[in-house]
Amino acid sequence: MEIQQFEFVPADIEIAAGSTVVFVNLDLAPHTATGEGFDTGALRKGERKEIAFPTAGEFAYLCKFHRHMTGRIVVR
Amino acid sequence: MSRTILAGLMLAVGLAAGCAGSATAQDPAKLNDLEIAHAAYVAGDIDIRNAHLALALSDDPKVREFAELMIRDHEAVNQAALDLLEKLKAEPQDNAFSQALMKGARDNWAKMAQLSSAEFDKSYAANELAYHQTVNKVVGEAFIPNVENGELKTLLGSALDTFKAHETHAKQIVDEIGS
Repeated sequence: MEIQQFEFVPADIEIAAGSTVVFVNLDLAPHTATGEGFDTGALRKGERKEIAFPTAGEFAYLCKFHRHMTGRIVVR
Repeated sequence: MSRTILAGLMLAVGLAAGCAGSATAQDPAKLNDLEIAHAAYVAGDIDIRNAHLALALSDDPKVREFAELMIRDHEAVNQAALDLLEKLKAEPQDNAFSQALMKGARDNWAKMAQLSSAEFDKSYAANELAYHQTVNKVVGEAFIPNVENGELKTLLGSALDTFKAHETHAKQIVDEIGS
């Protein structure tokens, strides 16, 4: 999952339970990906964070710093 | 609204417009790469200082959150600029455009510091919106088209993405607290 030009790309994804999503910030500004039960913390340019999704569900998330940046992960 | 900092920027831009065709240091479209790097850094540094003033004077959570965002994002952009200059072994060059920006900012800070908390909040929000609108125009229409170094052009493009997000956010703050 790339974070670029103040967007999560792709914003919505579907993954299998047990998968890991890697968030990578390509912007100059620090970003987070924060949802219920997970938080990448502040990612500076070039930094990445792996988040595991062990159980099924829908997880909406946003950047805590730039709240217009949103996305959704559907875990099947 | 605190207009002095914006007035300084507009003065610089206005002088440039009035001197179309002549190479003045105050024309943002006539600056060389190292002058552009200096001016862009100064513009970011001014907004960081604006934000520190806001954190000192405002009790509004929305204003304080925005100020913290300005510090976090502009410090990141300016650090990237410093890293690039170090990589290129280049020194940014002071210029009349940067000096006009800083003079406007200093005058503005003196006035802003005299405002009450509520007055300050409205003034800060309106100023941030106007400042980002003007800076984004300069960066997008003067700096990026004219800068020659490819890495600096790319950096300015990424910086402009950040500043445009700030402009949108500032507009929301103005709409929420008035101007």
